[in-house]
Amino acid sequence: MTEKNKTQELPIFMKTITGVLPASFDVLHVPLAIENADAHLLYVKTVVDGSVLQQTIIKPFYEMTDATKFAAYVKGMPNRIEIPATDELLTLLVSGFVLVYVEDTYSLLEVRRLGNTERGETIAETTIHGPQLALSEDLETNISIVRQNYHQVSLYVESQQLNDKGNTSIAIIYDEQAVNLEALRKVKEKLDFLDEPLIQSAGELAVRLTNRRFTLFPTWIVTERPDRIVYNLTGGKVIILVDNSPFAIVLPVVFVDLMVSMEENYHSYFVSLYNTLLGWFGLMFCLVLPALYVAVTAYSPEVLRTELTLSIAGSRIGVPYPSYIEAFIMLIFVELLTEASVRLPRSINAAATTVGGLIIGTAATEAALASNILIMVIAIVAISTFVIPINELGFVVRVCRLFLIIFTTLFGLTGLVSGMLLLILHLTNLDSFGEPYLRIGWTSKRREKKVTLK
Amino acid sequence: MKSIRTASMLIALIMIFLLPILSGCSYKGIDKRSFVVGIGVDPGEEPGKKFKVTLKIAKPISSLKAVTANEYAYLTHESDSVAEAIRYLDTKADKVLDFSQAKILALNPDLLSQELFDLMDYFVRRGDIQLLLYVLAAKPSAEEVLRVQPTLEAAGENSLYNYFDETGTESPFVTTTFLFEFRRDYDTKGLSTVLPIVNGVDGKNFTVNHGLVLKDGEEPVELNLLETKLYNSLKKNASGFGYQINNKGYKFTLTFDRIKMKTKFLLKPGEKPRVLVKIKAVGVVNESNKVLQLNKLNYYNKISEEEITEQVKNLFEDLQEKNVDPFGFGLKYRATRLHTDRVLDDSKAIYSELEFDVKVVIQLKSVGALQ
Repeated sequence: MTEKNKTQELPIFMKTITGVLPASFDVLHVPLAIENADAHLLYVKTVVDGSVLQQTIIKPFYEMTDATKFAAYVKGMPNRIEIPATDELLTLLVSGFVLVYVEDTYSLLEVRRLGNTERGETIAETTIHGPQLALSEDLETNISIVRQNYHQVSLYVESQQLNDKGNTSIAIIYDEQAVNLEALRKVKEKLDFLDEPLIQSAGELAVRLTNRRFTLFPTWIVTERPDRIVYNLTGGKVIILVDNSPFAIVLPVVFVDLMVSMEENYHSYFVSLYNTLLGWFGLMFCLVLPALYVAVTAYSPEVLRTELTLSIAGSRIGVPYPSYIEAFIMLIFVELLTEASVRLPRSINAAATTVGGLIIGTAATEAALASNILIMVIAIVAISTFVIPINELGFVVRVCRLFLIIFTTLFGLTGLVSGMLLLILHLTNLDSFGEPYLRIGWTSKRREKKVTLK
Repeated sequence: MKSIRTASMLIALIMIFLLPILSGCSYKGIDKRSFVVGIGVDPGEEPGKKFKVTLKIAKPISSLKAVTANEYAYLTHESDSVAEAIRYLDTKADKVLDFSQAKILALNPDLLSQELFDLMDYFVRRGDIQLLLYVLAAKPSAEEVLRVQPTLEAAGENSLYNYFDETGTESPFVTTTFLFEFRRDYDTKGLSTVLPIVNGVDGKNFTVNHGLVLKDGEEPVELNLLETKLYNSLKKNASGFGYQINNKGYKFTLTFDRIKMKTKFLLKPGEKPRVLVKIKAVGVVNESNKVLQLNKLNYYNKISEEEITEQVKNLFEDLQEKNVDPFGFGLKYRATRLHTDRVLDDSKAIYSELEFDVKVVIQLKSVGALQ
């Protein structure tokens, strides 16, 4: 294999391809030659699994020492695909395919170096009794996880690549017998017309799948839990897996879906009912409580008992700002705290929360910057935000309560009620891929899961 | 399209920045309000002034643990009308007087013999005074009752409320009358309203065990202890400790769990109008001067019935004589007849000559002792 040899024997087609590919260090052209057999490989080193390449292509070549045999061998390989158009060929090459030239024929073999196939522990939605491992960051591994949890012939996996710069592979998974066809059609349509230069994660893709530009409520669920994926598959939903993202998108969803914690499936009836109610109470509390505080202290103290009124009035002695500014300051402070504890490394996390929550909370009341009751309200709000099972809804609620406070500041209790009304109006106006967002499907869990057997 | 969106965003942004300077009309922080917890009305002392209004204002407590007693401020002013007096009192307080937590309206009994609509109107019509106010007749005067600081009152509570809201004491001697009830019953033909009489004893205690029957155009009738208790038991279904029976050599005290009264008119032409009053009471014997036998329970029932029948009959006749009708016999008559323009006069005429047929059925469950 001298320099001279190589250039001489380089087939024309491969030459063109090499010309088009950037002169990067990892673009490799490897001619193989032994006795009277020779072959050419063209691949990008960093995306190809070297040992697989060595084991399944290079080694057999030298063992066979016969071009015809090797060509037949290559033709019979399971990861071989026909040569597509040049544009697509280039994309495939940079995503882990090997172009093989032997016996005047070109073959394209997939020898992709797999991404992170390691399954991490669940972080975003932890449960006590459910599966402890989340999805991995590799598309095929994830598909296999889904398949292994859902052994049904009717499970369809459609793979496609997005037209973005990353050429991200995605997989659309659904149970053909149960799936909501209308939603499936809409999702596919949306994916085909997706016009986004770069998509890097499931969440990003999910956002781009909606029609509206300014969205507040998620009309999808982004989940990392295999059990939630399978649970939703049986219910006839469409799952989209994105390569290099440990999250899956569940579509279409209704609002109630966002309030389902997978933990509920693993407990006795009344315990899970209690948990569900707890979630809803948490949602109501963290949505309404700060606004209610403003309404009650500034507009309608008559709704409270006399004792409570007097103690709120007492605890506000010396607080220099009106209650809505007080509430805003403390809320924003808690938001900062929450955000900080998400960003901080785990080891410092606890310290930050303690310092922020306890010390500043006490100091704020001591300095008469906030009333005791408000500190309590804010603490309840901060805690109940985390009761909401789906993280994204928690974020939305945090925005909504600011909106409610503004409304309440302007119009009192009436403002609170009308603000809530506006939120509900907005929710009724939403739909998730054709499914009305506020729909409540009054059906038992058992029937929900049995949809396929109808 | 885009400019409209930008403009609307800009306006929204400006509005948000304008928020802090908002000094809206109804935005009034809780710390800028003085909470009135009691309103008292007495007859004016100065010549020419009709009313003397007293407001009891609670001082907010910053730390319940640090204080031992409530602190109140009292504002008084004499004027010809309640409205004027309260408007004047507004100028005596640095914060807005907030009546939304006021639950006590103490009225001097001397005011109650006059026509009350003038007085009531203000309280009923003013928006922030709740109709759930407890109305009471205050002795010796409204101001003195409001100024009572009971020894047992802890910081943060209002002991006068506890009497009437049935979360604290529950006694058959205490009548609870809300403002809406007071006005409705006072105004209804064929019904009289009953106010509790609160006696502020030596500025340290209350006693609430009498009732005062009021009817438009009649002198107020004060009920004694027994009558108040009977009224509350029969009309308000109050139950509880303490019905003395003293009959046939037995002296015992009954406790009733349930008391129920039903009335029915028996009107026959040519006869005097009669009303059948059936009372059913279920209870136990609490204490006795003799040893009671369980197998003689029926006998005890009987002697109790006799005694209570007499007490009830006396009460009815006494009230009839004074032309007040807290039990609403007149109203019952009006409600159960075909309505003609004579019904009202009839009900008045019939009530004055009504004969009461009282039938008491007492079911004692036990003699209250083990044998």
